[in-house]
Amino acid sequence: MRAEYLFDAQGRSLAPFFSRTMLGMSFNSLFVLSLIFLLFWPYRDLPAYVASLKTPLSFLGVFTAAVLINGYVGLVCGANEAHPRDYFSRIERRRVVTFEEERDFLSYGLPGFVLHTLFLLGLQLPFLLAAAALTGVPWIGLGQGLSIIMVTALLCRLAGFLTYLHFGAWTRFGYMTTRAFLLAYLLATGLLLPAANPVLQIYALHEGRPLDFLPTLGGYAGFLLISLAVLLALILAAQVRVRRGPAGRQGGG
Amino acid sequence: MKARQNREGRTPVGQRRGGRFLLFLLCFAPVLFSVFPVRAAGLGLDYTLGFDSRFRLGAWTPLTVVLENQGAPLRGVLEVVVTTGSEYYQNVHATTHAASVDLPAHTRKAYAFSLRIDAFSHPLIMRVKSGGRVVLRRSVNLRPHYVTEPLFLVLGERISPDLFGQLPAGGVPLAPLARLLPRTWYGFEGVGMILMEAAVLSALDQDQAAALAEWVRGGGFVVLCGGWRYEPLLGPQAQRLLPLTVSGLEQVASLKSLAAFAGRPWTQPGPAPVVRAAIQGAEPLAVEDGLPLILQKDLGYGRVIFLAFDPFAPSFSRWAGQARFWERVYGLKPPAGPGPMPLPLAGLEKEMLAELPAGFPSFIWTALFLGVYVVLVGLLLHRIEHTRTRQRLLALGLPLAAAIFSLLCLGLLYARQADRGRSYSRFVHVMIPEDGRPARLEAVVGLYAVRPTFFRVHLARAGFPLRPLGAPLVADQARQDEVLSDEAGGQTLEARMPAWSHRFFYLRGVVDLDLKAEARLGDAGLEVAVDNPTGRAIRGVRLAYDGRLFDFGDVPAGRRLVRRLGQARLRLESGLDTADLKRESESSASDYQERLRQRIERWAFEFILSSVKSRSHPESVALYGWLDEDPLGLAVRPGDASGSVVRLLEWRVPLKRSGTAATGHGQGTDHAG
Repeated sequence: MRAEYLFDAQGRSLAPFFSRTMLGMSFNSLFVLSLIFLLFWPYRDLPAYVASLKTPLSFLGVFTAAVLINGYVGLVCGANEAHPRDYFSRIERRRVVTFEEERDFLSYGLPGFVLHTLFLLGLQLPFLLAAAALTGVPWIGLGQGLSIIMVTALLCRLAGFLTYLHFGAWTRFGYMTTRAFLLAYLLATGLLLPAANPVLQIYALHEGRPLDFLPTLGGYAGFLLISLAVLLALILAAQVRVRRGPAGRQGGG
Repeated sequence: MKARQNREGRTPVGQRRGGRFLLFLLCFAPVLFSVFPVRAAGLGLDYTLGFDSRFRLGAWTPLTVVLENQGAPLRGVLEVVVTTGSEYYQNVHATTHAASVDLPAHTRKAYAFSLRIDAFSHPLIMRVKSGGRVVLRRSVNLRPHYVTEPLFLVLGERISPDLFGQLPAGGVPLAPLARLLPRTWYGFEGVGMILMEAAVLSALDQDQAAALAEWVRGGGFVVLCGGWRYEPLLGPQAQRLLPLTVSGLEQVASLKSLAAFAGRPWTQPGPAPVVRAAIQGAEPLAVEDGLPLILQKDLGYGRVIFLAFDPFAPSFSRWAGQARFWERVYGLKPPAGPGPMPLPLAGLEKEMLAELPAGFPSFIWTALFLGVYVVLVGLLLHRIEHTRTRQRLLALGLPLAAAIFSLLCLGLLYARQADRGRSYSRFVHVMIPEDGRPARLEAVVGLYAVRPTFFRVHLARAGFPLRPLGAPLVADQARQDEVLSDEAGGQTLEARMPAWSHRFFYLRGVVDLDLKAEARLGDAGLEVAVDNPTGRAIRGVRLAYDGRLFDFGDVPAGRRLVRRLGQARLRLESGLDTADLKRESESSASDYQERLRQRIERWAFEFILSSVKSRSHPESVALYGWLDEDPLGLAVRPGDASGSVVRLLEWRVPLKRSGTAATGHGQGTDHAG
């Protein structure tokens, strides 16, 4: 089994799990999440929350932060911005064809993406569990929250990868497109297509009830349906683009 | 179909299109069926609300629903939805009363409910559900049915409409059918007076007779009339109501002694039949030729007036003093019920909410635990980055560390919090008055949910109406309505509660407690003897006397306890104060039930002390203690919900003054002083 995405000695992986850049990114995301956890700790007694019919914000804060962090990290990793390169190689834009571009996407790239997303989520799991415990989110809600983070991160990663395949690494268009995607996905969907917005879904789980402004199919099932459909479309697009080979694509890289 | 085919055997185009259109419409059939409620064929619903279609607002009232099934056998549930609150304040709240329905084909059944209706602006909904779908629905506009005055029920077959004009003002006279009277005592809550012929008693079933008797015991007022048809007074229904002995019918020359009672001259000629009756412990209010015409009997907190003559006979109904007579009779009504209990329960909710079994984990320990995890991950990442030889081995450590800490979080934090996610507490206050009347009980049940919970509270005893205490605080919670089901010998409340919410429910009633106490004040001091033949111990009893509170000790089950406070102690000792109680309750109780008991004790005794101090020259002493068991038999589901119960017994004992204090004590007697 080929698993160069774990330790990439040749420097030809998009985001090797244990590369210097990724190790730093993993720790930083964990550290930021721990600060968010402390920030959203319920500093009042539990009976005070029950008496005032208020829900502690731990779950909402930590899970929303995890959605944003993992989404951003996924996007950066997919767009080949986490590749361990030095400053000059970025300026030179020396073309490096990555294994993810070379090899069949479904058998190499996609498993690598899924495993890395799971790995990052796994590192944050103690914080996520503690936050869910504090807010009293039931098992189903916890599972749904974790899957929302996972799906969001994977979707961002695939969007970043497609951008990379199209524009190449460290290009202005590529950079702008990935950020625009993140803003559109996390903010614009809140206004235009609330059912597809992961932050609103986390909010609905925090409230423990379907939200009034979400349509009938706007609950978790709706989110999963839309996200999986988009995910499937992105996977197919990535597979097609990878099959066409690096030569068939434009961009400096 | 064949005749319409052309020679080639093909269906004409228009017909094909018509068929497709029908198929297209059929696709929408399920949608149509789901939008409009299905009406079960042959199912009919009739109802009688209140008494003669009138009910008193803000009081419990009867509702009889008659279901008639001329179709297929039906199994389901009959629901009656009472809605209160205001859309403006976003506190609209519905209580559903439910009863199981099992109607074979061609049957007719009546279902009796007792409802508390607080608002007339929302319609009353009655619906039959079968297989999760509404098969029949009826909405009732409450505006034409409500009144705000007490109701005067006149029950009998020979009631003249003229009588209604003779009854005193301040009430709404009604003549309901006896068979539609409520089957719970609280169903009579809106009634001010019941005036009934003796014959009506035989028309009541067992439940109705029991409910009537219980209502009287709890503060109700019944005027029972004799006359020619006195046979029902000999029956068990009459005996259930009052200890009446009837020895026949006699003729008196006139009813002129009623003149003294009513303050109007008796003008009616001719003799009148009078029932010769005796009621144990009753007070005669008018006597004619040695026969009591009017007897007054106090039963519990209520009263029964027995009229030995027939007030519906023409000889009485033509009397000019009739209106004054009924006014005088209504004047005998006991004070409105037993009155409020001494403890203000409004402040209790806050105390109950302050002590819950659930709590957040320690911040220090959680931060330390997760901090260790972050440091460990940081160290591993650092080692992986700076080593070449054991990189793969160290890389395995990362998921391992994450798995171990995740499992610890799951076990120590998540599962533990989940266990404590739902809880309840209950405060029961039993008060035994000094005048020998039955004990009164009121209770507050608090349900608390940290996660969405479906609570089921089962009350094994009938006769204690459960109702929500206070309106839900937020609109979201108002949607979480509760369902009340009356079952044989009890009732069940089902409440679906969202996360981080609480609800309080209130119940009250009259109970029998077989406790006896005696207090004597003599030269030797104050001696209080308590007999507790019940199987329940009374713990931490305090004695309130002369504006002070003294320790009395525990009264074990099945024991007699005598305590004596000498004159010197009575004169010198200032008694317990709030500070003492606070000091006692500051012991570091680890058990939340004990913490709750101490908190409620502190809260209750603040009121008790202030009430004790306001009565510095009492004619009675008061005992305050904590019961081991309460007589309610209340069970809460889910079974894993943590619960705590606190039961306060308040007992007023009349004080007997004598020259010397009683001295003899039987076996099992304790002495103190």
